[in-house]
Amino acid sequence: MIRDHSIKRETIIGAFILAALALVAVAILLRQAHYNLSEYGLGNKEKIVRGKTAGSEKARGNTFDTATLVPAGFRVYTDAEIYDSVTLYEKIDGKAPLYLSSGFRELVTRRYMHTVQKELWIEIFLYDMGSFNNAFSVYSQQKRADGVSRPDVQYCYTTENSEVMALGTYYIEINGSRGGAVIQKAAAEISLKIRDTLGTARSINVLDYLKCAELVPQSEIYYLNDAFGMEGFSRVYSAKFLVDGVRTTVFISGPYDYNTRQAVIKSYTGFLVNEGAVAEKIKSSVKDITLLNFDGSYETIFHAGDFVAGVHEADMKNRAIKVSEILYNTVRKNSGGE
Amino acid sequence: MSKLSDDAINITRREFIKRSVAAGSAVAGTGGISYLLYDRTGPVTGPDGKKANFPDFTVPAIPGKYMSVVRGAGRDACLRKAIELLGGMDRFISRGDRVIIKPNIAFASSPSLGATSHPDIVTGIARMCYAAGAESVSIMDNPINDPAGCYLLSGIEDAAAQIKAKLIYPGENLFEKLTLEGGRLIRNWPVFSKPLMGATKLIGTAPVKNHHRSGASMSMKNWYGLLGGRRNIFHQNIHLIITELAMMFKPTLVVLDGFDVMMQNGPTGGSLSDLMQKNTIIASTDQVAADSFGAGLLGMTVRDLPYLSMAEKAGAGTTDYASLKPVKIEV
Repeated sequence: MIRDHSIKRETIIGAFILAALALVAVAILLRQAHYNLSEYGLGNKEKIVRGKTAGSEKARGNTFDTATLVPAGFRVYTDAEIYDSVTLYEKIDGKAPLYLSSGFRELVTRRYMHTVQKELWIEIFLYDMGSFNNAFSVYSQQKRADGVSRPDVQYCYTTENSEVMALGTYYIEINGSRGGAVIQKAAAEISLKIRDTLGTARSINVLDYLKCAELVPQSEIYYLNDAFGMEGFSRVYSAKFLVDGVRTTVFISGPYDYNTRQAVIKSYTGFLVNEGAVAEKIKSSVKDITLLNFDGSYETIFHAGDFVAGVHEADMKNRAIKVSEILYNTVRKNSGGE
Repeated sequence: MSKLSDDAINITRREFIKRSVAAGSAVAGTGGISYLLYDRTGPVTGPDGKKANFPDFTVPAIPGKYMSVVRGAGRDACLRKAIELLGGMDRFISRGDRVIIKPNIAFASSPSLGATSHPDIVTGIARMCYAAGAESVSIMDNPINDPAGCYLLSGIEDAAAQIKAKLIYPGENLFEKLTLEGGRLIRNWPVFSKPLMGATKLIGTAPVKNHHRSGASMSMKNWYGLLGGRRNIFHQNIHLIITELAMMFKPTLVVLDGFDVMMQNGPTGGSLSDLMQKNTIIASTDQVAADSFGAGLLGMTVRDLPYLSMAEKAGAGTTDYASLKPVKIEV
């Protein structure tokens, strides 16, 4: 008798569970057959929260609890948004490839709104790039020419409405909805809180090899890939040298062994020649220098200690040679080769 | 001993095997059916799909009135002059027209940052349309970021309310999978199409922006905001997708906002330093010509933007904007 009751009960429960599963299956089928195209494949849609304090993403193991970064006079405006390499384009669309090719791991963003002036809000972008060099690469490639460097932070500058820096493994932008003192003060406060969390910026050792009187401060750029649009020309550090009142781009890549340097030089010159550049013979104190005339601008490339070095898009042949000689001597001196 | 234990003890070997086979069959059947019904690809391009037969929204040409370029201090004044130089909005909009305005509202960004269409341009166009007798004016886009956030923070939501224009959100029921005849990429691809099918006029308006992938984002790239699905895959073939979009949409008019031009770090920008004041509005019946002129505002040439020549070859317009004898004035 007891067994009959149990079987009946089991059958009812079983039927109920199967019915529930069937309902779930039908729901999935219906959902799959009618995509919400505005959301298909999108995992982290941002949610605008008007007047509400949003939650924290600290639980996800991120370095920052962005809710604590809110500056004085502002309040949390929107939820934190978190993007990975698959969803990054949902936030920055066409700019995503720049980050994805530079070691991007995760982006956390959040907005804060002024408590009185609703039109004033700030959005922070915390890009975890996996390493400082990667962070510096995207920082340097996007650096605003009129940005004012902060004297107290190595890789940080401010503009009328934003504060931008490379710190730790992060590339960070703090952008205001408009310019002005209120936004600048708040951005500086957020920046300080972030720096307190991450510590001081690291420097990139290779850039030390470019140090000389002619080096234009803060002009350094690090290209992880395809420097100057040349496919395969990777891990290149460039900067500007001010010589005879003209800024000229110089670059170094390395350190490499001799054979690798030769291969890089061959590939670089081959690319330019294929594009129409013509090699010209010159006299220079730089050993084995190659100079190419590319549509009226001049490129050089040569060995400098353990590095491949050169000048990019010099406006005159003589300037290309002169800047190359300064660069050659600078790199050799700084690397103890002289 | 519990009742459950009694049941367990009383079960026979035959019963156990029967139940196990039944349970196993249920699991295998469910798994099999799920496997058969699982859609691995989602909405992808394919050979089948309804033809993209959008109405031709153009109006009859008037010699010498293809394109105007106006420079001045205020967006609204420049916009009005630019339209006036093409014959006035009456030329483009007739009484009873149902107008769609397609701005670029891709990002949840402040209008002052230049990443989205400025509300003043959208309201200016809408007001002129109403004044010309339009029955309705609707604004539509399928933004990159969340639509509600984009419409709100870009100022377009407030602008639409102010001018009594309808904001159309990209709801799933408004998309259709379409195939562009002669297209290689737009094949069986979801397009935000349905509002356009009920419209009689289409006006595109976009800011002039640098774009990391395509070089520039202007009138033609703006139609990208009418695609659905995982459209970012088209970034691998950006020039072709822009060309196909220009082939697909034949607008009544395009208005290019070159007031605060995003010269670098596009398409998102973020810093006011990315912008340069050029105080220019371009209005044109030829989207290729408008963008070819716009390239100059970014310090580029037609050669720098391959999609311009590709669109010209596809018959979407001319890159030789000078041949249209654009009217250029300062106000």
